[in-house]
Amino acid sequence: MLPLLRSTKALKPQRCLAVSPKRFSHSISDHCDIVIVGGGPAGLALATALGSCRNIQASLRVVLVEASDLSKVKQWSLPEGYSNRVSSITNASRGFLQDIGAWPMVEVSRTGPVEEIQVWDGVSDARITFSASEMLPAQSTVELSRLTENLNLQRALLHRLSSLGAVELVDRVKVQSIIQENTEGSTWPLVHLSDGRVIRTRLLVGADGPNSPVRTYAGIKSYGWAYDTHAIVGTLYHAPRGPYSSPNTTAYQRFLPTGPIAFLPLSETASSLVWSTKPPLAAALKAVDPSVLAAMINAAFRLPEVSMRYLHSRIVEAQERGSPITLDELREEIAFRERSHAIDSHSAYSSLVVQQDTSGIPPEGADGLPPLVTSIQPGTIASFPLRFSHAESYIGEGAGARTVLVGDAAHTTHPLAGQGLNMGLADVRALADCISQAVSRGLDLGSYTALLPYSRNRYLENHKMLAAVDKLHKLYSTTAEPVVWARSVGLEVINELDTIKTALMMSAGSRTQTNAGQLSWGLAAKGVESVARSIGSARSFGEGIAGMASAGLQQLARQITNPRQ
Amino acid sequence: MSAIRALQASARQSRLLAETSSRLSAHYIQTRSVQTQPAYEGHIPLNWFETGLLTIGSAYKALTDPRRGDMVAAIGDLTSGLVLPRLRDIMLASTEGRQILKERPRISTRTVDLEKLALLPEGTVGHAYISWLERTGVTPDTREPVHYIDDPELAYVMQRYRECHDLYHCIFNLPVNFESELALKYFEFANLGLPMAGFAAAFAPLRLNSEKRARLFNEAVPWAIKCGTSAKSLITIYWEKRWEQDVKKVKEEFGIWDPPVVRWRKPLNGTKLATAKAQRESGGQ
Repeated sequence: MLPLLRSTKALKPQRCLAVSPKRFSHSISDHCDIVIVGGGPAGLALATALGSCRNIQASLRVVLVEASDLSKVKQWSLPEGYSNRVSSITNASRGFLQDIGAWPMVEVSRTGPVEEIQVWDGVSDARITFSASEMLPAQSTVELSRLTENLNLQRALLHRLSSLGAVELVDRVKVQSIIQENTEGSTWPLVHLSDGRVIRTRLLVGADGPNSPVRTYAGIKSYGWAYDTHAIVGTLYHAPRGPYSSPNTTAYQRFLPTGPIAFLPLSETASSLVWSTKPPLAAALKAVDPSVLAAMINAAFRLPEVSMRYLHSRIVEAQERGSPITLDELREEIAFRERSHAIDSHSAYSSLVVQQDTSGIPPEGADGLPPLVTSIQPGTIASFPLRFSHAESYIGEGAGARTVLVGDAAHTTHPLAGQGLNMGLADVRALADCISQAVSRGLDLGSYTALLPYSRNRYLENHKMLAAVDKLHKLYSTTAEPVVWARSVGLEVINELDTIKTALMMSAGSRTQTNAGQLSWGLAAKGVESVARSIGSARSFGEGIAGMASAGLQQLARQITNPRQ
Repeated sequence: MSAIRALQASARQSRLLAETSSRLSAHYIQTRSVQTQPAYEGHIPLNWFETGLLTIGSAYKALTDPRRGDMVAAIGDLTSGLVLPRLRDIMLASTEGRQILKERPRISTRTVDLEKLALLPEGTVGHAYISWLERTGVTPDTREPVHYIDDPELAYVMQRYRECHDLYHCIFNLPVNFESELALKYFEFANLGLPMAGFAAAFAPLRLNSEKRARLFNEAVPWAIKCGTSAKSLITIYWEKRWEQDVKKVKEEFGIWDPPVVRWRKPLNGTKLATAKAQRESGGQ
């Protein structure tokens, strides 16, 4: 696959080379081994991983360049409210962060454990439940993942980095251009910074996000498409769950045909929202009063799909008229729809009356739904477009040699599975391992062969995940009856098969890598057990039928022999 | 200390209880499709076997004896499943239709003041309706209620269609006879898409003689298809708010026009009689 990609890439003009104004008039002010462009979670995690690796610490000079002010992130004051950018850190990712010494620096009180995930079909209500306590073996952790503010994670990584002291952080400095050195056959990248410095580097790492300048320099094409979808994020407040419900550690996601809406628990009274929906609707929802949005969120988890479609059209209509819908108007419409579906105002599916007192016994079905949102933290509502993209290669060659991509620079995905950052962290782990191996073997760091294990390790893995998420998105954006039927049956069947569910959860990163072998044997044992159990129940069923038949025959025989009685 | 421990234990217990109950309720959610509780007044929930049996039975009965209104209604209920959501969507999309779904008005002698309608000037919808009722001897109270549609709102849409059927007769000035009924069924199938109307339109012409059938297919059916497909969906008309409106205006607004001329058996004097009767009664009071 890779040689093929190489030949197509050779045809592409090198835009970066043309842009650079002073191609030959640079003066190299710095030499180093690895330059990481981008101080987001992936870039910082890579710097930390490299910095905490002993053989790299001793022998390599690593520089991280970031355009924004990292000291602000480092001194992030842990405000009372939550940041709206929240990621689900799977157990696998957390294991990695633990290994590089960053997880202990995370403010754990601000993170929310996810012990159960409930996902359901917005059209048919078919539901699947992933529960850590039920499906993961008892000795491993009881969480599936942990919801963590990106800022919290970045802050922890920065603190860990400064305690390591092995990586040089250059912040508030932009990368102005990247040029390939052109002396005596050397092909090292020269990174021109906005403070006038020029860094000559053996390896250039692009952790610089979806519009990666490093990728452009490397001439790596990225294929993909924009989903006709925007994601709205925000921090939601609600009453704590009562003593008769499970605590707020369940993540909920409902697949509406416009896109999934997800409710991610952060604490007993705060949760994070990720609502993927059509761009005009996203724009309208962002323009309305936050109280209207809160009412819409509550309705979006509860009302049947036809009514959600109706409410959407009312909101977009009002927006186009130039007068956004008011809370009273919306409540009236919701009341109309609840009346139409015969939803009682005391049922769990009614969202009009928000009960502050949750100490009583909740109505039937309340555990299948997130708590009613009472308010939204001001200033946290934001939205961004969603894209599927995957770079054709992770390693630059030829005119863009000595480059490698990680995280969003290499791939972007729909947030419905919460895998974007986790894939980035897995990239980082693989790349750090690969670099460490190369160093211990004395290979040339930037060379294609030295980096190849990283690409081999991650490309297919990421592609599988990206493709699966993409298919899920497409599968659930239709309302065609046969498709809805098929996907609902499939979901309900999988929901009954614990073995498959556990396998799904493991591939989504719910395990830590250390006990994978043990876990998969446990899984196999469980599979055997369930087969044995079903054979047993089939046998007893058969025996029951045989018993019934023989009893019937006996009866008959008795009647025949004693016809007079 | 022990008090705290006891408290913790009870909290754990209650959580366990909640978990079990949540699992039970989750199960409840999943089995909601098998409903046994009626969802609205007059609702008779059926399982798939009963549905199948009743569909075949009522279809047979309705074909052999079209006067069995209950059987015709039953097959209407049972076969409209796929079309009613579309009709509801059309109603929700129009301001007027939305109003109907919000208020769920019913048309019967109890809800509509027929005497008041009789006093409306000639040419209005109300006047046309009352004169049609008088001329044909039909009363709005003979409509069979909906029994076999599970969703309460869709059941209402079906009910609404049934109650408005007479008004379609009236607005097109069609009498109650086999050919007119059939022409209207073609129109309804084209305009509303109800499969019941489609069945009637497909099978009922077999009962006509060749002369009548030729007239049906040469005149009425082309009109029904053209008019039905090009007009706006008539299900969204809030008739009760339009009694005083001119029939011509309504026709213009919804893009419908009259069918080819049909013969009425009774002469057009029912209206006058009705008006006289209403005036006499109101004068007498």
